[in-house]
Amino acid sequence: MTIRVIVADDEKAARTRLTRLLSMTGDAEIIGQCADGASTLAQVKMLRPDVLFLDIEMPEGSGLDVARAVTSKTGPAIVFVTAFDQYAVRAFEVHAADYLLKPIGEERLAVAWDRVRDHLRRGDPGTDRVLAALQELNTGKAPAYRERILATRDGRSTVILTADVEWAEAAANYVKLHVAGATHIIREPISVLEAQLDPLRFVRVHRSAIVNVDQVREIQPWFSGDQVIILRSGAKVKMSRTYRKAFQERFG
Amino acid sequence: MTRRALATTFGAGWLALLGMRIAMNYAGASGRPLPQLLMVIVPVTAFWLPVIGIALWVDRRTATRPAGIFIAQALIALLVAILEPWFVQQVLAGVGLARSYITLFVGRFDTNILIYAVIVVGDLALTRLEAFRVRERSAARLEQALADAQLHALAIQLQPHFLFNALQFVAESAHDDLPAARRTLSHLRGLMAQAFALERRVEVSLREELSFLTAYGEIQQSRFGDRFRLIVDAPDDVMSAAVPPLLLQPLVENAARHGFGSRGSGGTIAVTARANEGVLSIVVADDGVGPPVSVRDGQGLSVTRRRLERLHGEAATFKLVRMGDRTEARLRMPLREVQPIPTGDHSAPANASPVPLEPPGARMPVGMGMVLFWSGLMALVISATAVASLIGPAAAPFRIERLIADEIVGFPFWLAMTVAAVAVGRRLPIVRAIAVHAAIGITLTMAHVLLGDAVRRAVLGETYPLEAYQQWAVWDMLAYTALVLIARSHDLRDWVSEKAREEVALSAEVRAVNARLDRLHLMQADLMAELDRVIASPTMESLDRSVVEFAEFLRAQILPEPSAEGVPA
Repeated sequence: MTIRVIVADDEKAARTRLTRLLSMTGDAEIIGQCADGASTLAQVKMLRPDVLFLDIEMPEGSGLDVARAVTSKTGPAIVFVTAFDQYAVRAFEVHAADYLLKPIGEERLAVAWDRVRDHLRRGDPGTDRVLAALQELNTGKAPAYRERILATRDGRSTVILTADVEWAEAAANYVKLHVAGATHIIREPISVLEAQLDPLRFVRVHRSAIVNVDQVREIQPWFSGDQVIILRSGAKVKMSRTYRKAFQERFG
Repeated sequence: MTRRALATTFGAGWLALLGMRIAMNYAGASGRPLPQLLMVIVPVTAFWLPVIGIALWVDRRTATRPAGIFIAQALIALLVAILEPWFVQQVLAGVGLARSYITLFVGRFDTNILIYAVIVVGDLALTRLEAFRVRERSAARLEQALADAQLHALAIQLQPHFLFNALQFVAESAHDDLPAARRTLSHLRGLMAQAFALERRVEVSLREELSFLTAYGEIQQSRFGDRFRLIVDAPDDVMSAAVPPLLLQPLVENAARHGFGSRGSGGTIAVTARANEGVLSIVVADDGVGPPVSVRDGQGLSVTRRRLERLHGEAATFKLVRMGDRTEARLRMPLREVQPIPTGDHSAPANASPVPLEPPGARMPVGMGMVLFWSGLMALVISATAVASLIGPAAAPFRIERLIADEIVGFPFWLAMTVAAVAVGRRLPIVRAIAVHAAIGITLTMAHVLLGDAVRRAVLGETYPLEAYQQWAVWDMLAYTALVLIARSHDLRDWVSEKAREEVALSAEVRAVNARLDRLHLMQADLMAELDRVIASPTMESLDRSVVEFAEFLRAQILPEPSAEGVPA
C-alpha cells in the first residue's frame, strides 16, 4: 500500500530533496508539489493526500496558515519543515507534532516517515497534536497569558491569580511575587515569567522588576533619569531609565 | 571632585551668605550707610573662609566618615562659635562700636553653629554627588557594553534561516552537480568568515558592507537562479562612508522573502546608496507583491534599527514604505568616513570604582537623619545658651512667656519646614531648581516671621526689634538649606548603593554574553576547518551527509542558551 504525499516548499531544491528522499522509503508516492500557500491549499483539497510535508516559511499564506486550514479528522497528516523557527520547533516539540529541520538528512526523514506510517496505520492523522501546536503558535491573534501561578514553599503550594500580583522581583534565578502584602517565590527566571504575562498589564521596569500597571499609584523622579514607582500598597519599585519609554507607552 | 570645583562651590555658598547678610542689614532699620555696613559685614563674613577650609580638610580625612569625624566636627563647631564673636568684637571696635563679648556670643551662637552644620552637610552632599557621578558614568558604560554584546550575539543568530536553507540547497545540488555544490559551499564559507570578521566592529565602510551583500547575493542567485536579482548601485563617493556592519543583508533577505518569493518569475532587489548634503541615504527596494512585514520578521528589522542607533544615535532614521506593490526600506544616516578605531574589544569595563561606597551600616531612614540633625543642633544651642547665661549677663534676660509665645508658632513651623524641605529636597534637584528653592525658603521665612510677630503681639502685646527677625530669617534660610541637602544626598546615596549592586549583576551578565561570543569566535576556526573538510568530500553522498552533520553541529552552537538572569544573591 502506498502513502500519497504532497510536498510544499517555495524552493525547488528543497522539493527535489524531499521527493528524492521519500522515493527511497519505498511506500511514498508523490502526487503533488507546491511552491506557495495558496496552491498548496488548492492541491490538498483536490488531491486529498495522506501526508503533507509543509515548509512553514512559504509566501502567500505561511505553512502555519495552510496547516490551520487543512487540519481536520479527514485531512492529511502533516509533517512541518523549517530551517530555523525556534518558536515553531518548541511548539512542535511540546505537542509532539511531526517536524523536520533543514537540511533534511536521510536518517531523520526515515525516522519521521516511520512515525507517520505508524500513525496512519492506526488511523490517526495527528490532528490534535497539530492543533495544539498551532494554538500555541497563534500568539499574534489571541494571546493566552498565564492566569494562575503556583508557588510552592516547604511542600505547600499556593495558587496565585496573576491579576493579583502587584509586582515581581528577580532574585538570583528565582522570582519573588508580591501579592497583597505577602511574598511568594517561584523558581523561574524573570524573563520567562515576563514572556508569560499580559504585556498590557505587566511591564518590565527594571532588569529585576515587573510591575502590574493597574497597581501603580505614582511615579517620582529619582536620579539620572531613573524613577521610583509607588504602588497602591505603598511599595516602592525602582524603574531604570532604559525601561522608562516602554513603561510610559502603556499609558498612551 | 577637583580642588577647584570644591573652591568654586563653597565660594559660591560663601558669597550667598555674604549677600544675604548685606541684604538683611541694609533692609533693616540700622539706618547705616552701605559703605559702613560693608566695612563690618565683609570682614565678619570673611572669617568663614578659613573655617570652610578647616571643615573640608577634616571632613575629607576619611572616605567613610566614621562617627569620630562628626564628634570632631561638633567640637570644631563649638570652637568656631567661641572664636567668631571675639573676631566680630574686634571688627566692630575697628569702626568705633563697642559690644560685650557675651552679648555677641549668645546672639550669634545658634547662627554660627548652623553655618558650620551647613558646611559639613554640604560637603557630605558633595561627596555623595561625586559618587553618584562616577556610578552614573560606569552604569552607562556597562549598559552600553551589555547592549553591544547582545547586539553582537544577535548578529550571529541573525540569518540562520538563510544559512540552513543554503546548506540544504548545497546538500541537494551535490546530487546534480558536485563541483557546483562545492563552489557554492566555498562561497558560503567566505560569507561566514566575512560575517565573523565584520560583526565585531562597531562600524564598517559601505564598501565592505556591500561586498558582503554581493557575496550573499551570489549564493541566493545559485539557489534561485533567475528568480533572484540583486542590483547594487553605489557611486564611489559613498563607498568609504561608515555604516553599522551587517546592516543591509537582513533588509535584502526580508525583501526577497516578501517581495517576490511566490512569483514564478522572481524579482529584482535594488540597493541604492546616495550621498547628499552630508546625509547618506540607502534604499532597499523590491519590485514585488508581498504581504506587509509580519510581527516575527520584526526581530531582524529591529536589529537593523538598533545597529543604526548604536552608531549614529538619533541622527539616523529607518523606515519601511509601501509604494503600491513595492516595499522600500529607507535608511538615512549622517555621512562620515570610517574612523580608524579597529574596535574588536567589547570586554566589560573594570568594575572597580575610585569612589568608595559608604558602609551599609551607616544607612538610616531620612526621618531619623532629621531627628538627629535637629536634636544635635538643639542640644548645642540650649547648652551654650545655658552656659552663657551662667557666666555673664545675657543680652535678653530669659523669660518663659516669651519662649512659649515664640514656640506656639516656632515648633509647628520647624516641623512643617522639616517635612517640606525633605519632600522638596527629594523631588527637586538643587542647582537646577535653585530659584524654586529660594522662593520656598523665602516664603517659609516670611511666614515664620509674620506669624511669630502676630502671636507675640497677641500674647505679650509687644514686638521684637527688627534685628531679631533678621536673625530668624538667616536661621530659617540656613536650616532649609541644610535640610534639603540632607534629604537629597540621602536619596542620592540610596541610588548609588542600588546602582553598585546592580553593576555587579550587570557585569556578570556582560561577562556571560561575552563568554558565549568568545566561544563562538573561538569556534570560528573549527567551523571553517569543518567546512573545508565538507567541501573536500569526495562523492555526492558523502558531501550531502557531511553538510547535514555540519548543520547539526552549527545549530547546536548558535541556539541561545537559557540566559542566567536576575541578580546573584
